[in-house]
Amino acid sequence: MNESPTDDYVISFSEAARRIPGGIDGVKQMLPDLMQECTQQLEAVRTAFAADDADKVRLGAHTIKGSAAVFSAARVASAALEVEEIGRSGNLDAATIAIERLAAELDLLGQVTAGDPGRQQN
Amino acid sequence: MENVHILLIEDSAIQASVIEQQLATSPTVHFKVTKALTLADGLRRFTDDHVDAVLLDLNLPDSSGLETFGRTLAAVGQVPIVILTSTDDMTVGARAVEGGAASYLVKGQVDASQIIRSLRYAIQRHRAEHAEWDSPMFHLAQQQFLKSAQIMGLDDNVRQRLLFPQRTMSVTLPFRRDDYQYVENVFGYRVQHVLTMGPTKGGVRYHEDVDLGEVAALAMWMSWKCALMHLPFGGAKGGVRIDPTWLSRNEMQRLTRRYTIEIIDMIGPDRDIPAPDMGTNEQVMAWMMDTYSQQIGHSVPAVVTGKPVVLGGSLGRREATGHGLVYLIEETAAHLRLNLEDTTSVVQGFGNVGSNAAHFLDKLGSKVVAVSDVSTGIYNPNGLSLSSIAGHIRENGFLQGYPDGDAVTNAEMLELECDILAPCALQNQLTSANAGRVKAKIVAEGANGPTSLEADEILNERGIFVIPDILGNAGGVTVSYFEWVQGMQNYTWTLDEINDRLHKTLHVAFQRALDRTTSDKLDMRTAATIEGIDRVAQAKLGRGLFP
Repeated sequence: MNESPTDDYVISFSEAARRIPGGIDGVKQMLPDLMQECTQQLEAVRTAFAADDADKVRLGAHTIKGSAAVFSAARVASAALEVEEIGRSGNLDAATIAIERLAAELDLLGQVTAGDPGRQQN
Repeated sequence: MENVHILLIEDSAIQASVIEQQLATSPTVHFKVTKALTLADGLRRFTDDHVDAVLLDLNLPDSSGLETFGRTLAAVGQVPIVILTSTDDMTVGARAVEGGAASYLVKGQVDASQIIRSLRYAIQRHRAEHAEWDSPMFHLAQQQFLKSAQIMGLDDNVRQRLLFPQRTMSVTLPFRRDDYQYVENVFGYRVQHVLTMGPTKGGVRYHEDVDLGEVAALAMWMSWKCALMHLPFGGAKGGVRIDPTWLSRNEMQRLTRRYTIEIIDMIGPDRDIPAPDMGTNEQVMAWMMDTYSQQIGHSVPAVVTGKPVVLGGSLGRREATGHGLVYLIEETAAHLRLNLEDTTSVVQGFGNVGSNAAHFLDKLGSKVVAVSDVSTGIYNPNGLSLSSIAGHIRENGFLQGYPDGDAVTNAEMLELECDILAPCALQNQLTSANAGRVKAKIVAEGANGPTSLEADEILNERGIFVIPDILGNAGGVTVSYFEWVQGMQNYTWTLDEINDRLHKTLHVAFQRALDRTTSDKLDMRTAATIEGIDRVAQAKLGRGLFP
């Protein structure tokens, strides 16, 4: 397996702009949709965790990881991968901390992309 | 631009939206995207509509990992599947590709051009594997041949021998794009149908729909055409499956030179002589001639025809096909006792053949009321100004937006009120669906295969005189023959000499076919085809069977 995004940055606009049509403006335009979808998926992960449904925890985290990777949001992708792997293991004992870390990373991404350039990298 | 329908099965709406936007950036392919959020929804939509390829996420709400791929593969059969997932796992990727996935892409690691290339190549490979011979045009050519062979009682050994080409070469060839990091791999073909009667002769087309079957059909028609015109050639054809409209001049040159090298063992002034066809032109022939000559060590102008006059091209070659078609319309009008100055004409297609046909019809006094190109048709019952249309196309690239007429579709064009209808664009335009509504007295085929067999019967029953393609567009190969003769003799003829010889050659061929319609009670296409086949069969039987 090689699923560990190691880059420790919140979002790379330049890298995302190579993939997303419209350049950096195109990326910025789509960010609210990204945040909305990731927030919904995080809620789905929390609900699945409460119901002890490891597979749904894995799936929700996997979707967040994929979307974050497309937007080069490395820290969210990394935190989502951690939750996904916990979900895949079937043992949700360690999930609480990982889910809260994912929530925190999403929160940070939201702050950065809402216009806090001090946190932004690249 | 090629149209491609993609079924995108992706549970993330934001990712689906990004992918859709990425596909929309393709300069060469128009992607229609049908989106599904679950596998069940995707497979349901697959059965609803024709799909060229599936772009598949592996982890979906109702299926995960390779199980998703397996279920999709079982449901879609031969349609190629490109996996686009965020599972960056070499083992899963290898198993998916081994199991039949066209490619395995990891989200976040690929950009728009890589996704587009993967889809394009997947579809291209699928077509190459499944449809090389399964071409509607080749079926049409074979049906026409078998019909004629049946009527003329052709020897069954010869019949079987002529049903497929004698030699085919299928190559894949790379060429570098102007963006240096990209190399395109494309399919190329050269087909020689009959090697009995001298060198073979036939054009090279660059078009995104080219496949072995299409090239084989065109080579077969070239055999009958050359024999009908009494030219000392067998039929051949070549092609590269690519849309040339998105290539720069430098890319065209690199593609052409590489294609020439790939087929160099088949061509030569005494072997097989290429010429321009759809998507190629004088310049392409000049590059082919140069590439061949560089390998041989001296200039060999006669290896191609349709080259620039300064390199040994013939005067009158560029307009020969359209000009020849109009000579035959004149012959037909005389036969039907029609005064061309009292006629109206509709010309479908405004490329080399159509524009010249329209020009020469106009010159003879026929009122050209409609013309078309790929963008639109223009109709004006009072007649069109061809010089003004040519100016509009020079300025805008297309006919669309031309002000002095009403826009009509290419399909509507065929049913307009007129005396002469000249389909000079693509194959399969007149079918059983519209042949009953054709109002023309003469259908003059400048294109190859524009009329289906069923449509042909309908036109004949309705008493519409058809100048079949193997006769109608034979002006091109006839002047190509003149060019080859001039090249082999290092002697040049004047434009008057060429037009005079062209007129005489077409007149004789027209009369031979027309006489056979009367003596054997046949339609013009069957008569012309039998004229050609009969001559090829005589040559085959004359040479006997080796060993």
